[in-house]
Amino acid sequence: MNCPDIRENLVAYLDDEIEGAPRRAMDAHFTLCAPCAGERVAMASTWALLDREALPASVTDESPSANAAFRAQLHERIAAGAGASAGGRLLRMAPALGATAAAGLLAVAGWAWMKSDPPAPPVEHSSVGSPDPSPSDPAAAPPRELLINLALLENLDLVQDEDLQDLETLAELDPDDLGILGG
Amino acid sequence: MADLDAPLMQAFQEGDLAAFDTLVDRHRARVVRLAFRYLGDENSAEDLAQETFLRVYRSKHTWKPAARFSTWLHRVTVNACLNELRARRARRGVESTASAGPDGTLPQETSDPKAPAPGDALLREELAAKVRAAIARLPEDQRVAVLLSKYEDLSYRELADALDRSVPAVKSLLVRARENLRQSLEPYLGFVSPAETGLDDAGDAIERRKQERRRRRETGAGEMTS
Repeated sequence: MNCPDIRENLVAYLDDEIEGAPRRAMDAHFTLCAPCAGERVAMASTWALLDREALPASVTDESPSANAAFRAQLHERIAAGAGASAGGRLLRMAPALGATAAAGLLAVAGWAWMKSDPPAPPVEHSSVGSPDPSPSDPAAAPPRELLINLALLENLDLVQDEDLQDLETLAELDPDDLGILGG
Repeated sequence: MADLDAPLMQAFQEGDLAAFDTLVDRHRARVVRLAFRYLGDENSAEDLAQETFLRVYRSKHTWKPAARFSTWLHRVTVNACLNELRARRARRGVESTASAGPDGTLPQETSDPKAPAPGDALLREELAAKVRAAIARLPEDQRVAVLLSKYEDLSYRELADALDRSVPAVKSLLVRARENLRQSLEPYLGFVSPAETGLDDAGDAIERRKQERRRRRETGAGEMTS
């Protein structure tokens, strides 16, 4: 090893990142080269000086009571943050949720319009006995996606905070969990 | 060596809050120390440690068992420190507290290094202040590398993981950092005894030193200094 090699690897040597034969080669060089040996001492001394840094007692306190106090405060912040976080996410999602609501309402209106009978001629008597459009008719059932949107809109408070990451997540929710379908 | 924190973190990911508390107990002190060294005051360090563990709590699912928990935690801590420093700068309207030039070198210290040496009673305090100032003057990337290497005993590989850099980049960073520190602390190098440098250690002593570092990292035990 020559002097430039030594200087290039000196810090890694001091950090014990160089081992085995290369390290022994560097050690041998230091015994023969006063400038490199001096550089080695100066760099090692610089690093050792960093041990003179003094820390305040509060920063070095590793007692169980210090841990317990820290944890108590942390749990308070976690509890407080959970509410704030859910509210914050809802606020951030407000435009998207609004769009979903609008789309849902439009879809409902469209579905109702499409499924409505043409305007019937005015009748003077009760239509008792006449066939009603049956809600149990599969052909007349509203689309599942529409029901999901409506269910989400009506049950936002039931949706877990962690599910409110984005609308894709909302779309993946099982509407049955919201108690709207199949109930 | 196995990552003793990994089973705790996995348990926490599965909802075990007691495991989270154990992780907090094991790492709180080192997070507070790192934050103090980065930010320079006790209250901010405590607040930042709280913020760090809040991030751990909220981001628990982003940790993967392939990564050492301590390395991941260092990364979270460093990011929180950097965010805090940026926020401070924004509040102050200052572009940067790091005063290094474009080449990474530092301006000369304004105090006169040839001034009369302080008395013995003040020497420790004087030296501690000089060391803190020298570290504080480092550019951010060099400073965090020094703090994690010197005080948290991270290897180059661990530093690379924590800082999201390559090992050669970490090596280069530490070379520049040490050169800057040497420049700042040159007048005080004479206060260091040969024994403090560890240069007289034989090969087996070096190996013991490395094993001790590994043990400290594994157990979350206190640092090697102070």
